[in-house]
Amino acid sequence: MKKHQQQRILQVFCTALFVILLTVGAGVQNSAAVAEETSVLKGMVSDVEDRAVEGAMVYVYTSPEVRRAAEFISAPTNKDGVYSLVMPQGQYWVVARLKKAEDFGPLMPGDKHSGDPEELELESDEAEMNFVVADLKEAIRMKRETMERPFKITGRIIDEDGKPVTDVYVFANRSEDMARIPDYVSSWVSEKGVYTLYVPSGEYHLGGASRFPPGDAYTLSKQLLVKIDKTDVDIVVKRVVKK
Amino acid sequence: MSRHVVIGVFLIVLFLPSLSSGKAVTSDTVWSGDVHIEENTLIPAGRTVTITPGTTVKVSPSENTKTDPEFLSFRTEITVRGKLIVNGSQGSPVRFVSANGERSSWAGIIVDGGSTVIQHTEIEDAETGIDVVKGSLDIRNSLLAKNRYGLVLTGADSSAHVMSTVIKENDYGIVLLNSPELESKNNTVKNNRKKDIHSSAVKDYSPKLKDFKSGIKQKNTIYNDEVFLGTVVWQGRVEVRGAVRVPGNARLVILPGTVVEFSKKDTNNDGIGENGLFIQGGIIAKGTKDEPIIFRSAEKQKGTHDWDSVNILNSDRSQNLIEYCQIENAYRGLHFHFANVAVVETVIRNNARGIQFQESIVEIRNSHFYNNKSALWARDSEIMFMDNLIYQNYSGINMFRNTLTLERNSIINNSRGGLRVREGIPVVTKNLIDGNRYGLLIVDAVYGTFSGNVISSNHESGISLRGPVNIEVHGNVVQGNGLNGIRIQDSSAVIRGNLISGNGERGIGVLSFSGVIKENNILNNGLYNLGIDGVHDVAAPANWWGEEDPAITVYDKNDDFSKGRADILPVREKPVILTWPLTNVQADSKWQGIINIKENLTVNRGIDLAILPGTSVLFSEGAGLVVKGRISARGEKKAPVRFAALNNDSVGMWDEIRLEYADGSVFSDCIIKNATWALHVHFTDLKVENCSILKNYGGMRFRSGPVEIRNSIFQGNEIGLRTNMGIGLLTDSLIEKNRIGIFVREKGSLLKIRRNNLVGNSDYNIRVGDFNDENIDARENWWGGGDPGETIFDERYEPGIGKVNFIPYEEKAFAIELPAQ
Repeated sequence: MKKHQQQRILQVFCTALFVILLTVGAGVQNSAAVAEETSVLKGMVSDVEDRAVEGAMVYVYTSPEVRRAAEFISAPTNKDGVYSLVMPQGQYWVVARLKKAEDFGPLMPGDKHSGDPEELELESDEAEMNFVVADLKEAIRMKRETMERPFKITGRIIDEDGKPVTDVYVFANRSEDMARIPDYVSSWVSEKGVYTLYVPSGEYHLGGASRFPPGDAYTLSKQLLVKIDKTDVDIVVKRVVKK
Repeated sequence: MSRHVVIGVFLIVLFLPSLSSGKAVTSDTVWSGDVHIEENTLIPAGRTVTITPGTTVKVSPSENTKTDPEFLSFRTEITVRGKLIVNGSQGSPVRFVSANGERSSWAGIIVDGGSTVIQHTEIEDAETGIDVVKGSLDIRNSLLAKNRYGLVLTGADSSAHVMSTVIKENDYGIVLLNSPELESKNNTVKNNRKKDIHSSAVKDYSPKLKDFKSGIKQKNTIYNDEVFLGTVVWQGRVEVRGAVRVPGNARLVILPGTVVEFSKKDTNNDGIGENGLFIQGGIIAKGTKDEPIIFRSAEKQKGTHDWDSVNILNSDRSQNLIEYCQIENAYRGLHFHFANVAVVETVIRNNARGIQFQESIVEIRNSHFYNNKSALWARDSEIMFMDNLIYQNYSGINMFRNTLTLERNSIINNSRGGLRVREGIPVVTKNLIDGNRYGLLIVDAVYGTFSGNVISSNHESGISLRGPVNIEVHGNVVQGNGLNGIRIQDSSAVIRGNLISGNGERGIGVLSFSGVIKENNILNNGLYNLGIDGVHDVAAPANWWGEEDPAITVYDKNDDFSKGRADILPVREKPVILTWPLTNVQADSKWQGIINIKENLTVNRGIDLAILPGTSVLFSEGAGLVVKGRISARGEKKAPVRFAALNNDSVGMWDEIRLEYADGSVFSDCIIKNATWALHVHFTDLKVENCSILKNYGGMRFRSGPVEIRNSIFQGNEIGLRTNMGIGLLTDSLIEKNRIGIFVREKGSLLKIRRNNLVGNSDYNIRVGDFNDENIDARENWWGGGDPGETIFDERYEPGIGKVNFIPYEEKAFAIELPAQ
């Protein structure tokens, strides 16, 4: 048998095996090691304090939906936190998990996880992905330490005579383009026209609208650079169409 | 690749599947021998647990302070939604006891929609031996002892057949709330520490509930387990058949009029649906009044937890909006952690738990929570909770360690607690807390202000203070509660400026207290105005105790040497002025002492306001009272009810008492002065007797009726009495020294004016208006001597306006017994 024929048969076999594995689903370890167009995915799993995590496993999926059985799962990481996994080339989504109990099923309190899946285009012979795993409390602590809290803008929405307007809301948009749903919106205002809006820091176009989505029932009022909480930011609406 | 710590997805662990601290019985089961219950145990609908003779069920106390939505108590409970059969026998009874032997250390057996048959059984150490919330109980030859409550039955959907059973040594033997069905035979109910039987029924105010409807029938989109990217917009009718996740960089926008339905998936067979939304990015569900958004079960037979929740996790980079939405049939309607959420104009109903959250920034306004097992549970958050209605849930609001502003809410007719606040920094003001089993429970709070609330007609205590220090309870009306108005244990609060009256047992009952009770009006409570049940003295200076000798209405060392002393000196001789704290009278109320009305106040339709003898109602400038329900202001000759201006006795200093369709209202032995119009009456069947209506711009004006005025004085007003199509009888009264005694605007034939002294009114005793073309019956009155016609302006002066028939008339004044002035 010619070499390329052998390769072709092997390729077909591996493809068939891959399809079977996809169909069967979970828990196939190093399953595609014999495939021709395979690659090695390797890397390290550490914790939030940069210490190697032993016993973690890397789960590989063929879609971003990871609340299901994985197509490939690595062997547990060694004491240095290192893992490696051989699998066919392709597009994957990858997470690392450290589970106290079974390898499968939902995470339980205390289990650690690397968060949203990382997308991987596996095209070369070798790729490296490192993960940091954290449990719920650690992750939340990190989030709150690193995440910017939104700023609060308050004021009234008024007409050109300074009278409060009701049945409207305030929006903040990063651009003047109002063709789409605004980036940030307040609740419908109270009788006194008072609104509250939360936005991350940045520069916004503020306005009022009487319909959701606004369509053409809106007024752009002002531009505002937000770096701190702001009060008494009155929004003057010139044209309000009843919703 | 660079390091990434992308948190989020595993936050879902916290929410999926619904983790419960309890367990459900998943098949018919027999318990025998020694049975240890270590966690909440649920017998679901369709399942039966049978307990054999001689079994001992030992229940471990819960170490958890929270209650999962499918359970009802924070103590360990056995909840029956299916069937419980306890087959003890005379020689081998079944026993339910606490594992640690401590009193009230487990919740008890709670019948919640199921049935329970019990014989030859002993139940001890529970909060409530058997608590029938809904369903049936048949108990025979048994013993309920050493519980806080032996047996509690609540509502018309609860029934019990109790035979040959001993109920003793509990704090309360049998508690019957809101007219349950009890058949009782050959029982012994005695030696219960506080009360053998407590029965209480409260008024259901049936408030108008928000109830959104949707006309959308066409199903547009079906989602299974999905993850969204970017901004996804939902409209029309959407069905969710899995877990839909909106990751951190995505946003779900739900347009007005959308209906989101969740099919029921119950993989672990615990009866709780698992499908739901998991929002880590953001959600904008922005309905409108005309086009609300509805989240509900997709099942034909919709239950209380067919689907999981709208979970919002780790989403505080902007405010998530839930507006003009209706959320029903969920395990937890809304559930969020580390999120910034506004819930506005929304209906939360028929869920196991309406809303649950922690570590979040939350604003909830103008929303209605009803028919949930528990309305709201929150901890460690910053909360604005305003203008909401919490009605007919099993349990109302439970707040733990929050920075909280809770204002202008109505928390009414909830089967268990109205509002429970534990720790945190709460400001609780201008709320109505009425008709719940317990009103307001404040636990372990170090800071906090509880002011200007009306806490009334709750079945048991109005306010319970358990362990708070450094809090203020002031300006509240605490009235008509079934047991104590305020119950205090291990507290050092300041209790000041409250009206505490008409409670079933004690105005204030104290176990242990190191604060001060001062400048309150505390009167007319069932057993005592102040009852001390502990060994320490209580400081209670400068209170007004009503007209009775305070020593008689205070229970302390003078009555039982083992108790502490109440230091009540000095005693106030006059009441403290209490400003009515709400803008409406929303629940039946009895006013006593001095009540200030600061702004216009409305007595809502269906509400009875009683003003008791000796009460003064003082109006701030321009303020008035509008009665759409019913007012009964009944003074006594020596203790009239006074309506007057707060600061000034000039004419027209305050607005008026206006009655609109306020049938059955009565003013007797009242003095009304300084008003613009003292009484302004529309379409009301009203009686005015023995009243003095003095120095107002107008004394009384009325339209329609019928109105009866007897033995009253109208004096010193610009116009004594003005009628417009009024059906009325004025008799045995004195109308004098007004500019116009009686002005008849229109349809004077509907009036009968008899046996009065009409005298000395500077312009006319009676003036007939231009629009009146009917004759007026005013016979048999005394007109002050001379020709009565000279004191009357009628057709004799202006043809066509009707004539006053004053013949025959009296030659001398009637001897009218004058009311108090």
